[in-house]
Amino acid sequence: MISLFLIGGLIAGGIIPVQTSINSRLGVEVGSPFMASFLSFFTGTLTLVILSLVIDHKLTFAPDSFHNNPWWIWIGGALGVFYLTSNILLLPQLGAALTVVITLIGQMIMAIAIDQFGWFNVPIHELNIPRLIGIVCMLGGVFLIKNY
Amino acid sequence: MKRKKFTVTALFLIWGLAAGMVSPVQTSINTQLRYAVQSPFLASLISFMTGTCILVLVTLIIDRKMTMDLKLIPRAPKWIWIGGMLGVIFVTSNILLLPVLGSALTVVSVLCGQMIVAIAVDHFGWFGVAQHKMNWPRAAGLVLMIAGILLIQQY
Repeated sequence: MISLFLIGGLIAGGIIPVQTSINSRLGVEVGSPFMASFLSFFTGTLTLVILSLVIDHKLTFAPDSFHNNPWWIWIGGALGVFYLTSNILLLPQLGAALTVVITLIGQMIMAIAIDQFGWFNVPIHELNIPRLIGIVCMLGGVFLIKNY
Repeated sequence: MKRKKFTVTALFLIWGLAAGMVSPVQTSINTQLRYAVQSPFLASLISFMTGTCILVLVTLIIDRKMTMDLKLIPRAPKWIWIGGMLGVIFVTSNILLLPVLGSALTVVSVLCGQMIVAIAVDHFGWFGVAQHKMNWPRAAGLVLMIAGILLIQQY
């Protein structure tokens, strides 16, 4: 069961370099990386309107979700834009390899912290030596791929 | 002078670290939103819609305009418009994966898929990317990543 989800993760990840290539070409065509990001998010929004209507048969949610939940559940989209825009602006300053590796180290630190403390109601999964070795292996792998 | 350049690079590195840290937080937040609105698709939609609104502001502030040449629609390749749809698959998959895999395993499995396809794109020179053939260090890097995933998954 878990291996199916891992394959799902591989496929989801595999989409990223394709999307990056496509969006950077879009950026060249429209003459701005920010306009390209906007068009990408806008077409994504339209796709999700159709997807929600087809699968959920509705586009509504209970209005009391606004006060029954913490305020931060609404800021995911803003964080996505921060991540995307930062990558666009950092790339010319740090170069491709360093940009990937530094954002990745940030991702790993935060992902370990979320699992360790069970933040955002994610099930607690404490860090141990084998997991730490796994993370070092992964960072080493990325470093090799990005440098050769 | 040299010292100043060092400080600037260090600031950009801290910024990169912060941007990376935001990424798993976004997935966790979107997953909470999914439970609040009771649909992963609606949660993705809300995330994309707020992102779109913020990008209108970002584009207006940085570019000072929001126009494009409409003549490029018939002229440019058709596939330049599907990036957003791929983003939808990515964001929605992350929402579905996090509760099962946990944060670290989600990040790592997504990353491994990313590297496999990035190596393929480089190797074949797809999407007009400069060709960069597969070599032994890259293959070793891939094996290390897969070993890493298995370790994190088993323990």
